[in-house]
Amino acid sequence: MSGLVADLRATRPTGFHVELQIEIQPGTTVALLGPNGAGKSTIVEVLAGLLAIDEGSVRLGGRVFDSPLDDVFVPPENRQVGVVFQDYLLFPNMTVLENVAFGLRAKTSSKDSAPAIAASWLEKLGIGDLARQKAGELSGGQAQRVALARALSPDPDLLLLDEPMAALDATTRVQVRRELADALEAFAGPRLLITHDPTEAFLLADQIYVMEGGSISQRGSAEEIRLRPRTPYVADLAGANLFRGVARDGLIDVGGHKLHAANSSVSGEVLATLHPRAISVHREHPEGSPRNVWETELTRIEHYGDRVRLLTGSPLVMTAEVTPSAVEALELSTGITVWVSFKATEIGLEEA
Amino acid sequence: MASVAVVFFLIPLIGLLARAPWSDLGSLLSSEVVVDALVLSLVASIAAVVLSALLGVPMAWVLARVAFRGRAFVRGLVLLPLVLPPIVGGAALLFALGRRGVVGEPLYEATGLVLPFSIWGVIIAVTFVSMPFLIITVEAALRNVDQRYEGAAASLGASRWTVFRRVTLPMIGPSLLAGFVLTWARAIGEFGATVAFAGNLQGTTQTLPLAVFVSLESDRDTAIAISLLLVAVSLTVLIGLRDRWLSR
Repeated sequence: MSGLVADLRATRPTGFHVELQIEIQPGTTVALLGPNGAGKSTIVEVLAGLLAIDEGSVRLGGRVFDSPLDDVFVPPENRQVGVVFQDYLLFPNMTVLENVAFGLRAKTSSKDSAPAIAASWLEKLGIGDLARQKAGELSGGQAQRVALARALSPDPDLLLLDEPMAALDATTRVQVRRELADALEAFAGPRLLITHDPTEAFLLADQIYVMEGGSISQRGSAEEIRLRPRTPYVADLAGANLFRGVARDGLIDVGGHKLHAANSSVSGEVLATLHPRAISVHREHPEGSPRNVWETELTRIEHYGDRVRLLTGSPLVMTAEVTPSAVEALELSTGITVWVSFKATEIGLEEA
Repeated sequence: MASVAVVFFLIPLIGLLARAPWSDLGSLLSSEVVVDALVLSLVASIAAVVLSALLGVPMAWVLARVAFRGRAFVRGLVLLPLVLPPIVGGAALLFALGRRGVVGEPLYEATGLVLPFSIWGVIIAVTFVSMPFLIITVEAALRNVDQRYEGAAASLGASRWTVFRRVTLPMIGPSLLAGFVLTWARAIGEFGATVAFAGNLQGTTQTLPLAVFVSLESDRDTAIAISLLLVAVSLTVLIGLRDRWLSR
C-alpha cells in the first residue's frame, strides 16, 4: 500500500490560496508546521474532502480522492479519513459514547456493534468512565482524548490531527503528548500532524513540512529544519536549540555534556530549549555570571538579512545568533576557535 | 414615549375586556358556529405547520446551504407572502387554483377535485401565508450553525441526511420550535387569503377570524367572545416564546 500522495492547489471561499506537494508513507508521521493563517487547516479540509481542489490530485493508497482533470471527487463521507479537528468539534448534544460511536454507526459493517466498539476505544484511551457524560461538559484534556477516540474508532485509512494540543494547558500537554505519541505509533496508516509548535513537531513527527503564506517553504527531518533553516521565518519558528537529556538537581546531562539550568524542579527525561539569541560568542574565555561556558569550533556562518546564525561544533552542536557588526568586530570566520556562554536562566525545560 | 406605546397597545385589550359578556361567555363559546370555527382553525393551522415543516425546512436548507443561480429570486418569491396583503395572495390563489384557474381547471378535469371553498382551500391559503415565517426563521438558524460540526460528521462517514438529522437539527432545535410557533400563530389568525380563496361558509371554511368578522355585523357578544379566545391563544404563544426567541 502506498501512502498519501498529494500535489494540489486549492482556494478557500475567501480567496486564500494554498499549494502543497506531500507524500506520507504508511506508519510515518509528517508534521505540517506553520503560524496561524499559513493555510494549514485548509490542507486538513482538502484532505478530508471538505474543500475541493482546483488543480492537481489527492491519492491515498492508490485510490484517487480528488482530481479535477479526471472529474473525480470523493465526498468526505466516502473517504475514511480520521480527523481530530481544532477545538475537537465534539457534538455537544451527544454523550461521549455517542460521539465515539457516531462514525461506527455510519458504517454498515459496524452498525450493531458500534456502542461496544466505542466503549472499548474509551477504555483504551483511559476515559471509560466518561462514556455517559455530555460532550459539552468535558475538560480540554478529556475532550482531546474523546476526539482522538472518535477519529480512530471507524478504522480510517489516514489520520489528520489539526492542532490537537493547542487548547490544552501546559500541565496536561505533556501527559497528552505522550499518549498522542503512543496513539500515532499504533496507527498503521499515514498520519499528518498540523501544528504551530516546533517542539510538538520535533517530538512527534518523522518529517516536517514548514508552511508559510499558503505554501511549503522547507521540508526535512527535525534536525535539518533546526540546523539548516532556509528562510528567516523558519529560523525564527523552528531554529531554537533543542536538547534531549536527563535532568537532576538543575544539571542536564546531554550526551555526557552537562548544562546548568536554573529550573531544578524538573527531573528525568527532559527537553531543553535555548534560543540562539541567548548565546554570546567570545574570542577569549569570558568572565562573568553565565554558568554555561565552553570552548568550541565555529563550523558555519550564515547571513539572514540583519542577523547572522553561527553553528558551533562539539561538545554540543548549537546555533547562536549575532549581528553582522559583531561578526566583523570579532573577525569571526569558519574554523576558528571561540567561546560560547549563556545563563542558566535561558534554558527552557519541559518533560519529554 | 414608551408609556404612550404601552397605552396604545393596552387600550384595545381593555376595550375587549370591558365589553366582554362574562356571564354568557360559556354558552357563547360553545355555540355551533364557534365550535365549528375553532375546530376548523385548529385543523387548518396545524396542517399548515405540518406542511410548512415538510416543505419549508428543506426550502430553508437549500436557501442557506446551496449556492445556485437565482437564489435571491427564489428567496424573494417564498418570502413574498410576508409583505403581500393576504387578500391579494388569496385572489392570486383563486386565479391559479380555482375551478377555472391555470392549474385548477386541468386539475378539476383530471380528478374532479375543487380546491376553493373547501377545507383544502383553507389549508392552502393558510399555509401560503404562514410558511414564510418558518422558512425565514430556519434559514437564519441554519446560517448561524457552525458548519465545521457538519464537516466533522461527514468526515466520520455520515450521509447528508444523517448529518442533518443527528447534528444540524439538534443545533437549530430552539429556532425550529420558535419557527413552528410563529407559523402556527400566523396561521390561526389568517383572514384575508382564506376569505378570498376559500370563502366564508359556516361549518366548512369559516375559521375563527372569519367568524369574528361575520358576528361583528350581527352578534357583537359572540364577536367579543371569539376575540377573547384568540387573544388568550396569542398571549399563551407569546409567553411561551418569550425566553426562547423574543428576549434575545
